[in-house]
Amino acid sequence: MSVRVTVDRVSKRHGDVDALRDVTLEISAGECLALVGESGSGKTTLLRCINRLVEPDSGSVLLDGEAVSAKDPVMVRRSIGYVPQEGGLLPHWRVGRNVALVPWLNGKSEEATVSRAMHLAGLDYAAYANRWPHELSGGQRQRVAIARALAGGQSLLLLDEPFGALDAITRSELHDAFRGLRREAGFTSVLVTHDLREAVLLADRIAVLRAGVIEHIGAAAELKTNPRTDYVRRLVERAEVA
Amino acid sequence: MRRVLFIALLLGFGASSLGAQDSRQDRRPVIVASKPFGESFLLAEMFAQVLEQRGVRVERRPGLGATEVAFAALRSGGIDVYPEYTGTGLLAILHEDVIPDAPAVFEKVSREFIERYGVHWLAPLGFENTYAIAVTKKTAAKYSLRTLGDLASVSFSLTAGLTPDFIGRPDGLPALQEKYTMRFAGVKPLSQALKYQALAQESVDVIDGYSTDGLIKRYDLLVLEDDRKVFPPYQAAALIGARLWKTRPDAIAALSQLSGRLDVTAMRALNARVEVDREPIARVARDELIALGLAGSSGRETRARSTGEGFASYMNEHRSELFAQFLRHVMLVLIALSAGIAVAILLGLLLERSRRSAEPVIRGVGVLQTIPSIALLAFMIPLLGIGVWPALVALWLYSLYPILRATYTGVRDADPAAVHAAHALGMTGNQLLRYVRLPLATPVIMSGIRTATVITIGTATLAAFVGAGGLGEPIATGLALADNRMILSGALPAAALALVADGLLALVERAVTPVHIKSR
Repeated sequence: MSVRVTVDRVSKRHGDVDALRDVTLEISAGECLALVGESGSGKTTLLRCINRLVEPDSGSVLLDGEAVSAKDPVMVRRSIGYVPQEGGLLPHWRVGRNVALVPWLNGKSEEATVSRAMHLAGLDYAAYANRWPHELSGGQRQRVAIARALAGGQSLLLLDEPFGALDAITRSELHDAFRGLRREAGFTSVLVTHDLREAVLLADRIAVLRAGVIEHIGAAAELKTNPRTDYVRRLVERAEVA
Repeated sequence: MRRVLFIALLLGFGASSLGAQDSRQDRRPVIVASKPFGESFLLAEMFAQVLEQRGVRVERRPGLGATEVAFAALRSGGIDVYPEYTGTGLLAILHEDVIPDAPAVFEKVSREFIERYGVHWLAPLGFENTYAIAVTKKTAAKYSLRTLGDLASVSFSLTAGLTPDFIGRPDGLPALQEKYTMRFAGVKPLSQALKYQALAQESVDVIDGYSTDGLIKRYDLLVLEDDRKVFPPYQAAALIGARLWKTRPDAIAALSQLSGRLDVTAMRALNARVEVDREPIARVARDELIALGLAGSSGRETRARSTGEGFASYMNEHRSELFAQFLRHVMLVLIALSAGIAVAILLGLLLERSRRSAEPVIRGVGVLQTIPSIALLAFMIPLLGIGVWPALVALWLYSLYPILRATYTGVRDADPAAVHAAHALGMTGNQLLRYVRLPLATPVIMSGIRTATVITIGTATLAAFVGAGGLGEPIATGLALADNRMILSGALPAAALALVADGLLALVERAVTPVHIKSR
């Protein structure tokens, strides 16, 4: 159960700056695409066009061939999982209620759904459901955020630098968890990151963005052997040196 | 449930005391009011007793906040009679220029007040209470002073201790300088309470005062004659509202008995008994009415008051009226604040949903805060009369801003990461407000409510100036009579109330604060 994402000639201006210029790409069902680039490259804007947090000036985003702009934005967002950088958990809700957010909004919150989502994210329901977000470590909080993004049965996951604020060991644990999760749940995902090595590790394909334009899109190996621009080549070199 | 009952009781208490003044037109008592200073209290009490002697039922509303409030209440029929001064009528109400001749002033205000307001001046009581320039008899003898003209010729060697008000206003010191070429060697600004002592200790040679100040007699001072008629004449008289004038000839006849019966010496002596000796006003008024033959010595027994010195014994003596004033104070605050909380929080939430109008609206409400309270109260009297309503509305208006500002800021700035994530996962704007912004904003909103509560408890003391009662009553009267025990008997319970209320609200705040903030 997953969804195909089509981004068709999407452009967006923020004031005088072109955030996205005529971006076109396709993500197959079940694929994980990483959006890599510096801040200001447009990677987060592109991500947010998918669940209508940002409305493109022109072009369209389609899910399984249906334009998101034709649907109620609230319903679009409820159908798509979203994991922001610092988790964005509701601090005044216990973990269980946080995970149940989208099912609850849809009027069908069940303990079993919540429990399954938490299990997928590597959290024991009994141990964590009644705890407060501020009692958890950063890594545990991101696991809760991932469980919350899946609990509504979403077939598409948008992740905005989800592991950026974690220490190296926790990040590597979360990387493993994410790969396991993909195998088990089989959703389509879009991962925004500024870390090329993370993209190589987690994504099937990588899109390198710069100033609102895709410099290169392809598998990790191709990026290394046949970089389409100097910018991409330097990016790959820097990632390997570091 | 019990809390609801309690509030309902308080509301009922308020409503019944509101309703009382409207019941059955013909049975309505004559409402006698005064402005908040000793002489006005005393004259109003004499009016009240002289009416009661003639079998007229009287309701007393002493201490209405200054001329604007008292006169607005008289015009609107909220009160029926209060003592006023012709000069005040001419300058402060009609805004005319000074006329030096007393009968001419009386003739002018009598005519104009009937034409413009339907309000009647009874014939003057017999004394003037105008500015007085006084010196000790010793100084008077040394320079052979009798008039202000005499004083001007030696003023360069004398120091004056004057109230700041007198130094500033055009009919005060500037008028003396212009008309008498008065040139004091020095002018010291002194408060009302200090200047008589300063004169007695010879720190100053000349002071200003009012011609009927009890202390003029007490310190045996000489009031210099205003031979060039610089000070406007301030003849005291009863000012009568339109309805009383038309419907109660018996009351007018009773009040007219006092016309021309009080001279300046008598008034000074009476004021001294009230302000210096702290005798109860009711007793001083009754003694004088007996002396004037307007009351029998076997008349209504006024409550005897001990002259105990201690504050504790004072509080104990007045505990039942203080308790009633305390309850009234709590009622005013509770009702005004509940309405303020409801409206301000609702408005704050609405503004979060339409942010473009937020700042203009909040600033507009903030402007209300800058209206001086007495002006706001005076403005509302034509609409709401006097008593509890204008006080409630004013307190309600003053409570809005802190709560509104806190609510709006609190919901607008609530944890942006949590708000963003909940939005991205499909909460609607209203759901975000209800389930994320509002709960996260509760500590900020509570701080606004606490601020508003303390402000309202303090401001509610001004309710006394529109006859709404409360702890402001002993404070206002105490200030007018320079009676510290009386001031404290209102001020201390009000302060205690503010502390207790703030403490209780701190507990509420703790209960509603989200757990993650508490554990920080």
